[in-house]
Amino acid sequence: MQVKKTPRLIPAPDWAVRSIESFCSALGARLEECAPYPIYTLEVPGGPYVEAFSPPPTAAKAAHELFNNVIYSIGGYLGNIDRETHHFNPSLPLAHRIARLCGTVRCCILDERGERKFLYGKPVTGEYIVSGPCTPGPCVVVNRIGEALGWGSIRVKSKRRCTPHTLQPVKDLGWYLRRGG
Amino acid sequence: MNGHPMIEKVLSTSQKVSAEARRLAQRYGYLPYMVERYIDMLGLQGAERLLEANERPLPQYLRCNDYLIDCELLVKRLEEKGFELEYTPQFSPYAYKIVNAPIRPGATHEYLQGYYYLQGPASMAIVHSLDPKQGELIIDMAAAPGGKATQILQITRDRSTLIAVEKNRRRMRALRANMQRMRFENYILVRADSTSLNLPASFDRVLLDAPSTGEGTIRKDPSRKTSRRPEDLLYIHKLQVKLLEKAVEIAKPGSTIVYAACTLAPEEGEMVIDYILDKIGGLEVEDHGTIASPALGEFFGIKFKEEVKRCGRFWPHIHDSEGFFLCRLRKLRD
Repeated sequence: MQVKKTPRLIPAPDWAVRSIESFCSALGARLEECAPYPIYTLEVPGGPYVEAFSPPPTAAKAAHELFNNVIYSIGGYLGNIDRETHHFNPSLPLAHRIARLCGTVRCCILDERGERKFLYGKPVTGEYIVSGPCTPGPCVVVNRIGEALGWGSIRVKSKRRCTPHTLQPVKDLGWYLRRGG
Repeated sequence: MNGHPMIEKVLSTSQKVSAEARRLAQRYGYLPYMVERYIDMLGLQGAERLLEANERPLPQYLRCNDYLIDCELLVKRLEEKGFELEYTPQFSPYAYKIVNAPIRPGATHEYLQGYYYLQGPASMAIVHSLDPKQGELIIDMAAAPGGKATQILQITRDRSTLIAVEKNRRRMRALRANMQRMRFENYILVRADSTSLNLPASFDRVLLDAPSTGEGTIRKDPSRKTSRRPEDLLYIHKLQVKLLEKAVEIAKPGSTIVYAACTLAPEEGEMVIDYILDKIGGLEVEDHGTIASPALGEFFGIKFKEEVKRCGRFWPHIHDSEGFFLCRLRKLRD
């Protein structure tokens, strides 16, 4: 008999927490800033990746007491983690949370044209970048008024001069139109 | 499955179609039995007004997410983009009719930011009837795509715990995306058939926006004028009864249950409530607290319990909305 693979919400294993912590640290944020509540993973046995959450305690308690942790999803979505490589793919809700920390974390600010390009999932070149990190790596992407647009990765042309650089899209809010609805 | 003892009689009576109903059905493109029912509910003039109202496409409405943005600021931002909005607080303090849209309202930057949700006006009013409060455990038994679920968390400022149940995988994905887009966190999504939920009587509020024939959505989808047969009504009535029985079962004593269905058919509204009140003791119909008209007192000669009239109906020709039935119940005891 084929056993149905049901996702279960469990306290995140150490490797998953380390993966999230390492991503946050690369951004310049502390783990508690990315995940204010205890981290859980939703796992489909044998699945290629796990989903990570930091749900409010009341939601975590209800998931445990009412559904014995067998659920489809829960609030406080952080992203998913590849089981093999432990690579963490951050979520859009996490981008909103981290965008509030722009100024202290790796943050790329786009002008209006850059914003439009980025929301179409296209790379954004230096002329549309108002400011951004000088070193390559992940960053949260925001518009001029600090609204989160998603996640990107900075490419730097010259290590000596900070500009111009390119922003490669990783995940943008346009996903809600292209895939989400 | 259970159902109202008079339902089969009602369905067969409604198929004896008068000449007037046949004439109107032909003129407006409906199945004749539907028009016969409208005449019974509203009289000939009222039925004609309803049929005429259903010819006008339902304008789009948006619900401003004041959890994330000041609504005046949202209106200003959309107006700068060329949108024309009309405030419609009779449905919800966050409701705006989109009078003119230069681009698709579901493709703006503000939409992607979760600053608003596109939702029918009667659908918004139903959540106000539920009247959710902070700190409560609330269940939405048929939650996708998430209009009412996100509204519950908006009203409670993300400080109630919401269980959102959906059976269909594709609709569940839309629900999850909307919960995330609107930036709420205090929720659990459960993919299940709500009729088979095995839960204790633990919920402070239960919302059942039941699957329906969708007869209330003709202004959005004119194919509904001819797509449902009387036997579909019988099937859906029995399913709605089963779901409402489950809603009562999992509600705490003293709690509120709101039953709603996007329909004009009494088999999906008054007859469901009339049957449940008879079958399950310890339930009371409460004032629904919206602008909806009183529910019907009788249908094809079948008189409903007096308190059924306290439920409500949104009519396209009266409220300029989609058609909806709603009823607010209180569970007095187990």
